[in-house]
Amino acid sequence: MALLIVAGLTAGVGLGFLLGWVVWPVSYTNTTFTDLSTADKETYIVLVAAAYAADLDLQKAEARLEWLEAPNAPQWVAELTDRYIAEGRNETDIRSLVVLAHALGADTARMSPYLGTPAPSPQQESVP
Amino acid sequence: MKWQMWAVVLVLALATGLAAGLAFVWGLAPVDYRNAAPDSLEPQHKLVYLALVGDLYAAEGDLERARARLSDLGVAPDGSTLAGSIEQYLDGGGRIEEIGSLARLAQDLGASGGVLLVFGTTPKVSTPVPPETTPLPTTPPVTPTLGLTFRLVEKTATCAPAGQNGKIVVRVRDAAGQGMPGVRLAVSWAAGQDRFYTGLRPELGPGYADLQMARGTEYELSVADARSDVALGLTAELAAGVCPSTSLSLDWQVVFQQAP
Repeated sequence: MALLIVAGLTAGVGLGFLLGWVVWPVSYTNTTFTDLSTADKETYIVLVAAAYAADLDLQKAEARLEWLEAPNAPQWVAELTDRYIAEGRNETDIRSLVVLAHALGADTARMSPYLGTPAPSPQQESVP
Repeated sequence: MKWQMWAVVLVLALATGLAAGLAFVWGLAPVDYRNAAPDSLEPQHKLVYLALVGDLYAAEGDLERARARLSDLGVAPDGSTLAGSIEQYLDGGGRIEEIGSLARLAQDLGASGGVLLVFGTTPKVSTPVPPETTPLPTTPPVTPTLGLTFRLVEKTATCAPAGQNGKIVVRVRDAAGQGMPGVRLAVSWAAGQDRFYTGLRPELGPGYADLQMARGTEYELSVADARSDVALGLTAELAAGVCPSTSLSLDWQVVFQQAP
């Protein structure tokens, strides 16, 4: 009798796991930006950067980044930009990210080639 | 008899095990959705993403790319679906300025009429601009009212349909009496203010707009960006005995007409 109960319980639990995890898993249809995978969040940042590069509306870009609820969004943008540069990703994406990172005050040394050579100061120009 | 008892015990044990298993996987350790995909975003967040897709389309002019991005979001890349999303967004108090590009994308995907009327009828896609140039602002083409004068020609209270909260129905007409779409209206109350537009429900007339009232709030309404009379004292509160007992509040019909 005890064996039968144990066998029944085990089979029931196993069936429950199968149904709950595989057949009818909990469905989250109302997720937020914070629930997105890191890859999807980074895709979103790239799109925000592309939109910023087109309209230069920093307020809008910052508002869009806020949806990610990241503690330091500018730093995230900078790190993502550096990684895109290091990995030789799409040049347009990199340029957009650099423009956004720069606007957010999160420049890094790796971005320098994309930000152009700084204009010479008046003192430098006056040297004969 | 003994065989039947064993069967009952087995079924009970199976059922108990199944219940325990489901309770565990649905309640205690559900499938981890920290890595959710964009298509599972809740409607408000999805609209934020959609507005971004619209802005990118306005910048790039690449319809195929926009379609692919919509598909990634789990949104059918057709104009009518997008137009429906825009309508939902506006109904939820969303700002019209944020979705002008999305409306143009909806138009380019074949939608017309309805809520899109307020954004103008000519699909326009801006050419991509390099980051160094100064962008042109993308504001929806609303009917300009600057310099016009609007008179309040009607302000009528009626009993709201049974069980419904009160609303303000606004109609804006030009000097000839024709409805004017895309006119911005200004509404204010003690704790705030808002703007909304005529023409979002063309089936009710081009100059039609409405606003749901909150109980216990008094509203003032005028045509924004114009010399306009102000409709004062618009409240849903109902004095006893005025309406049938099934009616919970007042509706208001307000009509503004452009002065000749």
